[in-house]
Amino acid sequence: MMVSDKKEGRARAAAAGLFCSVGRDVFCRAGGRGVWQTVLPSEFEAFDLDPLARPEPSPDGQHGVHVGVSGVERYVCMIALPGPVVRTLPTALSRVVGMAWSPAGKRLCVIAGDPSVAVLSMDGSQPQSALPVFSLFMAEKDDPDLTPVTGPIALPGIPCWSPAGEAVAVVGLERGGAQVALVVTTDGREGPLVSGERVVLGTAP
Amino acid sequence: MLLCAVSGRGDGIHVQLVDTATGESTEQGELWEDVCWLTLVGRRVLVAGKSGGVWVVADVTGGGRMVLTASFARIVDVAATPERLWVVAPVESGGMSLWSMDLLGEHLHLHVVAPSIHGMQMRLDGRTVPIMAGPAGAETVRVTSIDDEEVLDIGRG
Repeated sequence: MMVSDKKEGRARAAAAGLFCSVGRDVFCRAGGRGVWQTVLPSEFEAFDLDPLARPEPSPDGQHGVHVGVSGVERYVCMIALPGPVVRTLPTALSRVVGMAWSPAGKRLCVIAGDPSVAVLSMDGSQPQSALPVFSLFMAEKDDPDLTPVTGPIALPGIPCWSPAGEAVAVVGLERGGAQVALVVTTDGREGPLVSGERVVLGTAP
Repeated sequence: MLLCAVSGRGDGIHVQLVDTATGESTEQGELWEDVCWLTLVGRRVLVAGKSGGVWVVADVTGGGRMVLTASFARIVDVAATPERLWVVAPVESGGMSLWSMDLLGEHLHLHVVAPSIHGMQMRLDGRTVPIMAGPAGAETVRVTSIDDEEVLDIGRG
């Protein structure tokens, strides 16, 4: 069941937040000036410093996502602001090469370097101290795996959400070498949208 | 709706607004030599593109092209809010500069010059832009957050 996203565009104004990860430290500045907390998940050696795996604060102002490094594996880690990691997705990834929250932070699109694309849906609007439940809306509700949902290879890059949050696009590479905008909609449709020698997606403002 | 820049058959890069339900596309203004960033701000379509050999950010809403910035040899990163535009571009002396301006192309302001600027993210109050300014990949990373005219060093340097 999809979470309604019709009000995504209007929820952005209330959100704020900044993350910076250095080694195993995460600095969170949520809202007021100078409000910082450090998060040190013991199971990881460091947070990924790949520019495309950079920490992404959610527009909901309450969550964020990091990529944790454990050996050669990468894990998607959700955190609540301000506070510790509240959920680590169990699927080990070789790389994460792009993440983007939907405009109101109800969903997260992850491009993994395996290659695969997943769109995670966050259930519950106020998870706070309780463990929030995240699910793949393109897979079974409780399936935490990052399941490939596209045929062509997804290229590294920041996914692009539509302003209303009803669709997300990534750039894929077709067998013939053309680039294609691959779209996944919240009602479960997916497929190519436009293609060309090179495709650049618009960003959410 | 989805905004895309798509290269054609050697005739430049088309900026298109595409209906994700039907696949129908609407051309947004003239062709570009190259495009590195584009976004929708309300009903306005903003593009960072190369034209005449230089890079600019322009408003192409309605098929026109209103250039909002000075010309840059290269544009590294752009972010926009309903009120302001933020541009990271190289400077002649080396390093990167962070500029902001309003969406009329006025009130241009140089905020910071640093050896490296990356990871620009817009705080959603629309007036603040945190960046990482410092050597990329270094053991320590300096984080700078710009709140209006004030530069806050809020990381480790």
